[in-house]
Amino acid sequence: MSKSIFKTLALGTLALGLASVGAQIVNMTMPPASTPLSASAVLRNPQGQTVGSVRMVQNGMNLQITVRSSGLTPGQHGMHVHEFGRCIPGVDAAINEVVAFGGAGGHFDPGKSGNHDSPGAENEDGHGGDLPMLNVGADGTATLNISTDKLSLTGENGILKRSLIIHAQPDDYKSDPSGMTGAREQCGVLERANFNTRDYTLPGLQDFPEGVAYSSSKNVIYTGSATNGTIYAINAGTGAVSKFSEGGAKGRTSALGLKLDAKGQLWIAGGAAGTVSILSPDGAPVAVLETPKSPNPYINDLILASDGNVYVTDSSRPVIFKVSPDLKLSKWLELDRTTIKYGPGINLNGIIATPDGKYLLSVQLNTGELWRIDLKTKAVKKVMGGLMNGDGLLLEGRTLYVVRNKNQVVSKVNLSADYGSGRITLEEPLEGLRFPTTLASIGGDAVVVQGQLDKLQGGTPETPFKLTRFKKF
Amino acid sequence: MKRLLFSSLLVASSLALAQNTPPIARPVPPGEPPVSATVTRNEPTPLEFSMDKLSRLKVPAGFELKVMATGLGNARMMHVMPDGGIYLTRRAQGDVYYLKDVNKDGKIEAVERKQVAQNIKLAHGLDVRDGKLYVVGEKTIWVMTMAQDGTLSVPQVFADGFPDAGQHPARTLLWGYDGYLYATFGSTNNDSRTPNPEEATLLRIAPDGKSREIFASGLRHTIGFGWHPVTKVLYGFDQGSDWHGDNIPPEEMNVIERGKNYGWPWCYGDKTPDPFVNVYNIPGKISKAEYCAGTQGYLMGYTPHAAAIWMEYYTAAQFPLEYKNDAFVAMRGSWNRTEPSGYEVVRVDFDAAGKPSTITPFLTGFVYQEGEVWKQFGRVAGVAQYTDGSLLVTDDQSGVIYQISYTGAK
Repeated sequence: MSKSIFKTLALGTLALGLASVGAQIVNMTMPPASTPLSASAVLRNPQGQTVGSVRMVQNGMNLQITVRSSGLTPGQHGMHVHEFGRCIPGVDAAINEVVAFGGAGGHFDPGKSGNHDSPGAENEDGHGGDLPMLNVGADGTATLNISTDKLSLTGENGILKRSLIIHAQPDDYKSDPSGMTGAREQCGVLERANFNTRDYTLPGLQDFPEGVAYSSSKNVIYTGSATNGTIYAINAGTGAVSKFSEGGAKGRTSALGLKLDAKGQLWIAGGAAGTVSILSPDGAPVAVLETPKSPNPYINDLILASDGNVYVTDSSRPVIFKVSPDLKLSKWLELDRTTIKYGPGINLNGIIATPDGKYLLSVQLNTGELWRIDLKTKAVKKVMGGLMNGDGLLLEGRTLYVVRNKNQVVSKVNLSADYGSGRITLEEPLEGLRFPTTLASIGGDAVVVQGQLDKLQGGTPETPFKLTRFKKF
Repeated sequence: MKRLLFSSLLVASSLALAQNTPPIARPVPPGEPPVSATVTRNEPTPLEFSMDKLSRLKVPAGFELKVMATGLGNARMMHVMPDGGIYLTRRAQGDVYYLKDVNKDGKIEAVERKQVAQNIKLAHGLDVRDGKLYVVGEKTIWVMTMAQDGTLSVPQVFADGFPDAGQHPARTLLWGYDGYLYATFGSTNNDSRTPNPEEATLLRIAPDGKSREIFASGLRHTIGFGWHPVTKVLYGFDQGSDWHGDNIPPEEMNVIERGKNYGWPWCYGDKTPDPFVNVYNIPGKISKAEYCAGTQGYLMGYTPHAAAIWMEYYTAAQFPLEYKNDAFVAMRGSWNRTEPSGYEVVRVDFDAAGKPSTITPFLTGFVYQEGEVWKQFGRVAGVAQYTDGSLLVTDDQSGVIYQISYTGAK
């Protein structure tokens, strides 16, 4: 692996602002975002005064960073990108006390290294957010102009809606968790330039929303919690949130994919509960359908097809289930008899039906493959690959939007007329996504769920949980 | 000096955060100072009921107390049929009895008692709808078809897979005005987060029994509940945690609304944080104060540990008009309070607008002190309105059914 520029900078032998060598060759051909990626932040002190600015421009694999600051003591100051985009007081876990800018959380650590290190370390060895120190002059001001491939405005290392913090002390580039850099003196949230989205926030601290469905007649967005099954109804106009159905009852302990039927009933893929549930238009329980008792169910998504059936993916058991109009659940397609091969992890995930009524399309998260399944013959065809971490799907005509959770982008795919082949044309991080799961259409807009399901494996979610509405690109 | 200024500003801004915005998930739970409680186990010495003790019991002037039946075992919940038949659950015996005063002598003699269902583990709450009797016991709701003579068909499973009973096995159920079945399931434990989300809840069950939702949560052990006959507001009584001291927490009368969390185990009463409950597993690792702010407070409290069991609205005409649409609640009695509470039936007075105003003792005298020793001869549990407009109360310790009638000023 090549090293980033920061290592060289630490040795002091190269001028600032030099382009670095790409560390992620595989991503060099990454599709563009819908508009060029640039971002800025206003740096403030804990009293709320503006004391500086940050500007970032994405040039291919390199992120150009310019920091200007004032009001600091002369000398070197540790500087890091922190995980959360919240420049508010919050708990410093090491001392369990509220500190200034504690809401920004710890250092951004996309490689899950768990290690504070020098800016030259690879992301898997040290925090991606560990930046070079800011050298403050006698007048208390500093300017730094650097370039790195450790961080980006898109993808797994994306830092949109995260924060840049300047600390009181120099950085020893080794002590955990933050290099003995002391108090957090200045903070700014990195906001994407020339791009607007709208956030809908949820009240629960453990909601981990996963699915989404939109009712145009009610102008209501439904979303559900992967961890407790609670369904919320969000007024798409005002953003007001109400509880549509409390989760936790038998078979309703988790909510993943959601869809509305013609009667306004909400269908819920029950995840590890192994169920498909139906709620009435006012949220009352109508049915909980159980899949066969077998180990490790993971009912992930479902789609109402024009043949009147509902088709259901299971991400760990190689089966597509079918729910007929009389609410009978059965195995429709045993996938181990097809070219779809299940492996460890999350397999078939998002599922949609083509508008011509002929096919289902489903993405396999752990292989990045998109599959086309003929509803009549059950013939399976691989449409394309390259959609690693593909989760929820939205199809409009021949345009397919694929939410890619770990990659933190929404990919736009152009499909052929027979849905048999496709090509990624754009990849959008929007204004920064946190492990997004799926999306739904709201006219010319779409709303994507920022599930943060990666935080179920450890760590603290950034609350409030959000759904983000954006103009389709 | 600069340092001092900084920290005071910090305090100010974090306070503002707590007041104006919802809390944010914390990386670690907050620290809390140690706290001590003085707790007293005081289980009054139980005495078998005998007729000579009747004179100890008191009801308001104009009311008269009689014994309708004795020797019924663990007599718990009752459901009175329009013809005067009474279905009685016996939790410890796991059965259902059908009682009928055929000879109209005001007593249920041995020949007027029939065991009509058996082997229903922890049989407790019961209700009737469309000719069928529904009984909840442990983890199952059973349904039986009723015959004219009170006998029942073999029980069938109506709904199943409810949580373990644990410490709180008194499940109850009622059909709601909306056509759904409502059933309560207490917590398996005293005062910590439960593993099964259906514990400590009121569940709402679809008419076919095959799906359900958590209607309200954070209810430690709500047994008595029901819709006010006039306002249709749903009220319930919840038993607060044990071993937190004589006066913490109060028994709660709640207005139960869909989707609300009533705070247990971390909060009691008016969203008050309970200092004796560990904070480590609060969702989001926030402070108790922050958590409790997002819960629903009680409507009224009653003496801690009094142990509310069933509540019944009085809709008949025998009692004076002021009692109409009031609720009567059996308080089975404390066992961890220096001065025992409960061991009585209380009246919840609803005003003309249908709002509850006070909770006052109605039937008292089961508990008393002799020298240093507290004694009791009745653990009241079930309350029901009889066909003649009198009130029936069960004692689950000696298997007594008491009948309270209004006879007026004599």
